Amino acid sequence: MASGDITAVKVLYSQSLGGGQDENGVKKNTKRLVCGEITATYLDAGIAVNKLGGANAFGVDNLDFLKLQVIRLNTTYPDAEALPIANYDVTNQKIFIVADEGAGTPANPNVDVTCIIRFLACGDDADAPELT
Amino acid sequence: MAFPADNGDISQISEYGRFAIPGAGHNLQGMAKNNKVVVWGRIKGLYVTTGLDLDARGGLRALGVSTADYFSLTVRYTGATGAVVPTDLKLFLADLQQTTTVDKIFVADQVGTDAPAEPSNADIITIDYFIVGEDVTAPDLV
Repeated sequence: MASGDITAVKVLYSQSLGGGQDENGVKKNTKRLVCGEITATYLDAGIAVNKLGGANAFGVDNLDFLKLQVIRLNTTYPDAEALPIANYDVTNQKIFIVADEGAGTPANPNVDVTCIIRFLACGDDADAPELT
Repeated sequence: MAFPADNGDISQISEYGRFAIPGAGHNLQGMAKNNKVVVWGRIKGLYVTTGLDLDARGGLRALGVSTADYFSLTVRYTGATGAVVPTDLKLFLADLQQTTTVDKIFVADQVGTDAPAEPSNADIITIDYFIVGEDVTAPDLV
């Protein structure tokens, strides 16, 4: 396992949301909402979601919406002036974390810190049959 | 951006889906409400430091709800060409200024630096939204 690798993705809840649309208004009948938890080691270059297939790691294709919530970094939980926040780079399929937003000099987690991140994702069901 | 637009204008709102939440909900007074939905989609616009002007598109109604019980915004892209993504110490953050008269979206695109800043005026912003609220298309039963 390399730094920045995801070691586990646990789906805690998954529900079909029925039909929807894509950006061009074309009908998509496989919308799904997924909640889950990612375990990974940190790397300044980002947590490598790309190694798990990008959006597929969250149980969806064509990620419509993704919210990340950092639960803990090693054994450190959110604290005064040390609020962790996470973003997802949709282009390169990486997760970035700032460990202590609220402090005077925010910083990334140290390399190889174990990151526990919950997510809520909406998109097209990754398991849906590909009808062409 | 392929249209004439002023800074602060929202050029596109794409609703990707909506899901009616089974069972009744409530408003802040505890009154039963039977029209709760989850709505999610994507907003594109030209940023201005006074906020993306959701009012000009009808406020929350443009996002498919008449009242938002919960909302979450995540920024996908910023930058002059609309292709800048978050990096290790430049994360994105967005929030909605929602008063009785104003609905504006504000963004910070250098969260994690010692001096976080907003995007520049005219930056092309792409924001995903997820809202739980009351269906704007529900009949108004009185």
